[in-house]
Amino acid sequence: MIETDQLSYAYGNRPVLHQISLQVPAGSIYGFLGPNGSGKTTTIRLLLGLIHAPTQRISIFGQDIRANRLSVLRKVGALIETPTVYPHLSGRENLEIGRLARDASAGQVDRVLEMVGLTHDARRKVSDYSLGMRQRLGIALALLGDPELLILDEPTNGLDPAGIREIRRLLVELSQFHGKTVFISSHLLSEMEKMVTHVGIIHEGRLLFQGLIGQLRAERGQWQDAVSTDGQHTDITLEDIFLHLTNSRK
Amino acid sequence: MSTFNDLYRGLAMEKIKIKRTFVIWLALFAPAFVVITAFVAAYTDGDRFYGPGINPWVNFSGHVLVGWALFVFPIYVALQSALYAAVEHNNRAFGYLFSLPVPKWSIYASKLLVLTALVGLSHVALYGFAEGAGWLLGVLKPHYGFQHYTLREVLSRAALWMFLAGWGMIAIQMYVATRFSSFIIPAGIGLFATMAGAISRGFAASRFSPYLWPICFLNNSLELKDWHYLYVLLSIAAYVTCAVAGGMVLSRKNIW
Repeated sequence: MIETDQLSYAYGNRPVLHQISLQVPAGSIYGFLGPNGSGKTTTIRLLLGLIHAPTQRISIFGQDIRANRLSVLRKVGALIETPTVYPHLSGRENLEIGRLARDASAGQVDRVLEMVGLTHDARRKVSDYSLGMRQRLGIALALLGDPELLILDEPTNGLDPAGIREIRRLLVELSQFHGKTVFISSHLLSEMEKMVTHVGIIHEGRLLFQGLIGQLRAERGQWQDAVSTDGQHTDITLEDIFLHLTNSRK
Repeated sequence: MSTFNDLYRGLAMEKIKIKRTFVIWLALFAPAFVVITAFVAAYTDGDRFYGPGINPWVNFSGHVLVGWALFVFPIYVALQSALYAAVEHNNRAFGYLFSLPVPKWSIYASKLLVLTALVGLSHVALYGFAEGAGWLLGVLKPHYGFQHYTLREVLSRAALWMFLAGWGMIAIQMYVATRFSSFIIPAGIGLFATMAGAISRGFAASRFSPYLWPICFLNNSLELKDWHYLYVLLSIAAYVTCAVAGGMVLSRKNIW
């Protein structure tokens, strides 16, 4: 579904991505994990064509994003960092803007409102929404046009545990019952491991691990010595591996 | 067909976005400010200028049109463009917009057309308010003689041609306001261009400033034959050039 081929990118002279080769299979929930500043958002902006990638390095649905931006984006729903909505408008009006952009049918607005549980708040101004409601509205915007692929940048940012659980339930449902492929970035493996099927771990612009979440779990034993800093062979968690890989463990 | 569909959708999106913003109010306030100022001045001090056998519309319309073209029009376009672009910048919405399956040019073109329409609305309002103010002066101060004369054709034509002569300025301001997220930059450019125009007015160099083309067009005259239509042509050419160039530059811009 998404493939990058040795994708590198630099801000001026400062390299931020080093030869990233992502492989996101269709139907998967792919957790793209890394600490803040590791290159997740830059990768997502490249995938969406918001910053210009070198040609032939990014393929989505088998098409080069640079050459086929519009036809690719018709099948992609995205949420980038904080959900971008117009706070002076109602939830419904925000969705109407997205619907027009996607040339989707009028009924889609009600459908996505129901999917994210915002039907009763649709006429309220977004400035009155809680952060969780804004995140759900952001996901509703991404769902307009019935896209095959969802690219979500930190959709659980700033949410309380109940909000995180709600988003997680929604994304699993979208994948399992609606056949969506979900590419989701986060800096919290503990959150992601409860829903993702595949995982890619990025740190300082380098992809350190990529594979099935089960594969990471299976390889847990191999990390035991490396991760255990106190010399005691207690059970390590995926979070320990993630922190070890990303040098975040203090 | 697809091009028209893209543009239609872009315009429909912009129509929703300007709901509950101040852009419509500003489009009416700016011409109202000029007309109200001219009205108050005429009401309080009109005896000095108006008398039997003198068409009061000439003096009154002159104040309205010159006040608008020289000062308020460029400042208004600067503020309006900054305010309108802030709808996107304040919400960091360009990333969202450019991740949608809409051609980038249609997003920019829609914004430019809506800004142009807003400025057009201001000129309709300028004409309507000026007519209304003259009528009211005729009622409140009948000895001024507003009710005995009309300058309807000159006022309406001046409003139309000045609007067109301001198109170059509109396109420049739209580009600057879209390109820079700070409200200060487009507003500041418009303000300083206006002041530069006021200072340099009359000098040959001032003819090159699109911010002065509306006043250059009027040529200090309310006689239709004295107006300089070349500035309208220049303005439309600048509008098209700046719209195409601005659209191309912004389409290539990386969105962070």
